[in-house]
Parts: sequence; C-alpha cells; structure tokens
Amino acid sequence: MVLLTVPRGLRRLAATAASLVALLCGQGALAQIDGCPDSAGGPRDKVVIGSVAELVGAVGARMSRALLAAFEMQFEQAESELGKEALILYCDGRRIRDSGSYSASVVGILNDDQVLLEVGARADGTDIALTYVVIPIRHYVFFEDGQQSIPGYHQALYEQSRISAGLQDLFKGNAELRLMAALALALRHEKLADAETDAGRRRELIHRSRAFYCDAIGSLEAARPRNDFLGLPPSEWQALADFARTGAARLFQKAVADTSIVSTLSVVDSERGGQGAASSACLSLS
Amino acid sequence: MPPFLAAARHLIPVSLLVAAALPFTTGTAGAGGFTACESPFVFDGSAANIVPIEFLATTADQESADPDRRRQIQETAQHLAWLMKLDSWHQPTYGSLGVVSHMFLEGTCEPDVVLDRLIRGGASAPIRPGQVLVVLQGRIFTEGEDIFLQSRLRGFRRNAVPPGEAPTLSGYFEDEGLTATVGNGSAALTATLPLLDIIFAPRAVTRSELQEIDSIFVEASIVRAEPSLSSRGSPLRFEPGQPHAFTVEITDGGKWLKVTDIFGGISGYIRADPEVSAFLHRKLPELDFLNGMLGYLRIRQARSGLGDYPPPPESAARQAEERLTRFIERDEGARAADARALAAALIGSLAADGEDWRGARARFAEAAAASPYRPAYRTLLGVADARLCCAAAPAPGFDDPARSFTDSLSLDPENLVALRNLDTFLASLARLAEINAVPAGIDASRLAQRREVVQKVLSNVKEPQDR
Repeated sequence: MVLLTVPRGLRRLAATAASLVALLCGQGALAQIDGCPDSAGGPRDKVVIGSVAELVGAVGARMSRALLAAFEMQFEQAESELGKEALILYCDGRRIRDSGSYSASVVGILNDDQVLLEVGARADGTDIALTYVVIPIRHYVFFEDGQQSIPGYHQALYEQSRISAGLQDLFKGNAELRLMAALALALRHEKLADAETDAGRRRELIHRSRAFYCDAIGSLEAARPRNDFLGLPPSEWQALADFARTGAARLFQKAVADTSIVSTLSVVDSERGGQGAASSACLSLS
Repeated sequence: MPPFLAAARHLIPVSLLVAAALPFTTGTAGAGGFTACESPFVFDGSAANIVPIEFLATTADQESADPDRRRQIQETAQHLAWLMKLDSWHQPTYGSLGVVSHMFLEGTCEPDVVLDRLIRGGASAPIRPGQVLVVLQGRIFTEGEDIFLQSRLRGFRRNAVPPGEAPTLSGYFEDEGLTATVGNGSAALTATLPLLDIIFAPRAVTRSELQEIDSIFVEASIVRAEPSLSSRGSPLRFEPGQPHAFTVEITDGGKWLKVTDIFGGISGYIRADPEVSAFLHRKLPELDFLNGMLGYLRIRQARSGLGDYPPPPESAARQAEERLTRFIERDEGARAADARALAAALIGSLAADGEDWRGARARFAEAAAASPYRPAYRTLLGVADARLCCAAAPAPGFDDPARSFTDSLSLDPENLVALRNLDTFLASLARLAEINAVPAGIDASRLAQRREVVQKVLSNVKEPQDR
C-alpha cells in the first residue's frame, strides 16, 4: 500500500509538501474534488495533497523549501512501503483548513468519494502544523460513533525555532504518514467487509483490514512523539495506538466468529489455544 | 571491435555531455560505458550491472526560478555520482560487473521509466534471465552548507517473464527466498524475502565533508603508468562538465585497476584500496548495503542455474556479510529499522545457503526484532527453527516454529506460505510424536485437533502470497 509520492511537476511539488486538503467544492459536487485534477481518480481510494502556497507566505521561502523537501522524502518512503493501495492526487488548488471545516457533511462526501487521507501543512502561530485528516476515522468514528478521543483530524507540530537552528532534525522527523494511511485503509476495508454479502469476498476484506490494523501497530514506534520538538500530541498518538490495537482484535473476532467463512485466523486461534486477547493480538505475547 | 567500443556506440554523443560520468566493468565482460538517462544502457555480457541514476532534486528545487541554485544542485548530484563511481572501484565486485551511471544530461528521468526500458531493452539489449541489476536512485536537497540525501536501492535477478507481460516492474524480479526440508527430508518449507527495494532514511552531509571525501578519493585515485606505487602518476579529479567514460580491468588479484578513459585520454593503473571508502560509507551506509546486496544476488544467481554467468569468487559470501553487517552497525533510528531488518535477512539467507542454520536463525530473529510486523521475517524465522529442531538431531537454540508461522499468519491472514509451512511442520511433528521423539520445547499437544483446523482452512484457500 502506499501513500504519497511526489514527483510530477511543480504543482506536484507544491503539493508535495504535504499538504493537502480537500474540501469539496462547495460541498456539493460529488465526483469532483475542488482544486484537484479533473479526473479525480474515479472509483479508487485516494490520498489528496494540496497546495502549500499559503505556508510559503507565512514562514518564508527557506523554511518552506526545507519543509517541502523533508516531507517529500517522507512521502516517498511511505509510498514505497505502503504500495499501490491508493491513488495520489496533487491538488494545486486546495489547501488544508481548520478542523471545523471538516464537518460531518463535508467528510461524508469525501468518504463517499473514497478519499482516505488528506495531508496539509499550515502555519499555526510560531509553529508549522502538518495536518492529517483521516477521512474514514472522522466519518465513522468521530461523527457516526461520537468518539471524541479520536477526531480523525490530527496535527504534528514542527517548531520553527528549532528547525531554524538545524535542519537535520527536520529530516529525521517523525513518520506519521504511514500510520495514518494504514488506519484509513484498515477502517475502509472493515466497512466494506461489513457490507459485503459474498462470503469469499468478505473473508478477503476482513483479512486485509486485519493486516492494515497490524501494519498500523507496526508503524506506531516510528510515529511516536519525541520529547524534543516534533510530532503528534502524546494523547492523540495513544488514542490512535489504542484504536489500532482494538481494531486488530475486533477483526480477529469477526473472522473467527463468522460461520459463513473459513478464515486462516481460525488457525491462529487454534494454535494460540483460544486465549481471548492473547489469541487475537497481531503477535504472540511473550 | 573491442567490447567497450561496441558498447560505446550506444552511448550519447560526446558533444551532448555536460558532466562527468563513468562506466566500469570487471571480470570477463571487459567493457564500460555511461549514458544519458534517456538512453538506458547496461552491459549484456556482465553477470551483474549497477545502475546509479543521478539523484533528483526535490520538487521545490526543480521548480526553482533561480538557475544558479538549480545548477549548483545538479553539480553536487553529479559530484556525488562521481564519488560513488570511484567508490565502486574500491569495493568487492564479485566478478563480471558493469557500472553505468545514468545522468540527467538533457533532462531528468523518472527512475521507473529507466528501469522499465532496461527490462524491455533501451540502448542495450533487454536484461537477460538471471542477470542481476542493482539500481541506486535518490533525492537531493541542499541548503547552505548542508546537503540532504535520500537513497532508494532496488536489486533483483531478472526472471523469465517476457518483457511487457508483467503488470508491474516487480513482476520481472525473481523471488528471493529459501527452502528447507524437515522430517524425513521429503517435506519442504519455504520462505520468501520481501522485495529488495528499500528507501533509506535521509542522510546529512556538509559541503566540507563532501570536500573531505573528495580529497580522500583524489589522493587514492592516482593514475600511474605502471602497477607500482613507485611509478609516476597524476590524480583523477571531478571536473564539472568534463566527460569521462572508463573501462576498468582488475589486475594483480584485485590489487590494481587498469583504467582507460575512452574520451579523456587518461590511461593507467590505480591501486585498489577498500579503506578509502570508509568515510563516505560512514556518511552513506547504504553504499555498504548496495555492495552486500550485490554479493547476495550474485551468489543466488550462481546457485539458481538461470542463465550462464561466471560464478562469484569464493569469498563472496564473506564479503557480502561484512558489508551488510557494517550497514546494520551504522544505520540507526526507528525510520531505518526496515533497512536493518532486510540486511539481517539477507545475511541470514546467505548463512542458510551455507547450511549454517544457527547463524541464519540468529539473523532472522534480528530481522523480526527490527521489523516485528513484517510477516516474511516471521516465516523465515519459523523455517530456521524447524530446521534446527526437527531436520535431524535437535540443535540448540530454537523456538517452536509453529509460533512464528502462526504470527506470520496473524499479521497477514492471506499469507498462505506460512499456513502451508505450518501444515508441513505439524505433519512432521506428528511423525516425531509417533516415535516419542518430539524435541523439548516444541508443543505437540492437541496435534490431531490442530492439524484438522489447518487442513480445513487449506481446503478452502487459493494461491499463496508472502509479501
């Protein structure tokens, strides 16, 4: 699976950075995401990256250039690791907005349009906020289920003063992107599985969802907030970690309990002796 | 016509050259070349080729309106390409190696396009089945004194799928993995490595460090009239805009390199010295990874029998392990964990090839610890454990293989390689139980029930995947 890639023109670049955003044009037009290429990818999962022009104006050319380069390298790594799961859209005409702009109706439309993730960078006082909108989480968990602890709108702060003191830390920065993408893919596949009536297809979707939740758990360490200056708020990181672990266990139980499918996870359950949480963990407990 | 001239006919006209680029072959091939990225080229006669592609500026700099900045970045990228080329001269070659730098002489190229054309046949013949290709590409960003680099390394043996028939580039890569037997020897366990495709964490190099590295290579790269340190010579220097195309022949058991620049008129001998690379490799540990991966692939090539290539030297496995071990020791940080894991898995696979299953198990465990949620390393670990516990008399230091196979399946429920391995192992275990020979530490409880569950699932599954 994968996420963001960078190369393609300048726009791309602007885009590259990482920012993205995607608010639907006028919140009404389906199929066409405002500011994105006309094709908009069609019926595929998408990651949307928007313009960072506003950021450039706020923090200066040197800082913006360094940020864009660091993000671009992070995206490239994520894309290589995550694969071909999503179409990357570089949308020069879009920019990230505050959390209030991602209302239930806006997010619902983006979810229907199979947007997995929006990434954007915006100035936040003296900091730069790399912003991730994990559309399935915001739609299903935050709005539909009302779980306030995991809003699906997450910001990793980059303190300008520390970045200015030395760019090396910026390039060694955290890697939240893969975690966000894995969680989005996990929940998207889980919802597809819930709605699928064909047993074979449902089994495959459950398995893929489980694999993405486990991948997200495996991505947690690289995305852990650092004590110095970069990263997600620790409470949000912990909430995402809990969400991933709970999701992996939930999908395990779904697979084992579904009598209409024969899941390989029943073998895992058998080998681990049916020990509840110990059986459903992604890895054996030592 | 000498091979290198035949090769050179496919290269870009000298008039188009704007930067130094070097080719280099060793062993039996005896040809060299460099090329513009629009004309992808590798040596058909070499068992392996390294294709460094000039590092690409990040998008912001590609779009920069400042021509001086763009020129400076490209010059830095080409300087690095020059140093990487010199570095390759001083590293183990494993025999029959071509090195062709692909430079942005008229414009930039997408590396995947370069690779696709090499597979289909660009300025050279399509890569042959069994032939090894290692591609090094990357991104470069400069700001004042700082240079930031991010490398991507891909290596593979070409499989037999005809050009144009695979849906993705990796469809032309031969699977890399291992097979082991357990029990009476009739039951085989298999495991596959992840794709040898890794993006490394960004590295920082200062301009003063780059100059220091350059000075080291200038001092080490004295081209002498005779293969003797007392012979007169002159240094080989990076000169922006000066084209070079070298042929390189290893002489005196690898102690000296005979180099000839078919464009610049330089000809003579350079003393090979692996130590000159020490500082560069400390700054860019992926160059150690590259060399170790090359050695691994050459060894696998010789074992596979796919294609008729000269075998690597007997020292190949040791050299590859040394380079990969050095990479693991130098590459740190959470973002580097996947690269360290893959390096450990390659070392483990080499050990398994040599029937050193204890050594292999230790490395696979290291890989699984570095990248715990990658199912392939769990499968490899399970195979090594099964080999140690149950192929013959139990060897010390194993865990229950069923645990690793189960973890692999838990991480990726569509991974049927692990499921089949579990089935094979449990069957073997049942035979041991019948003769009261189950090794201590192996769980043989509920065997009939466990096998029934596995069999039920196997009867409902399709094709295996393990990546």
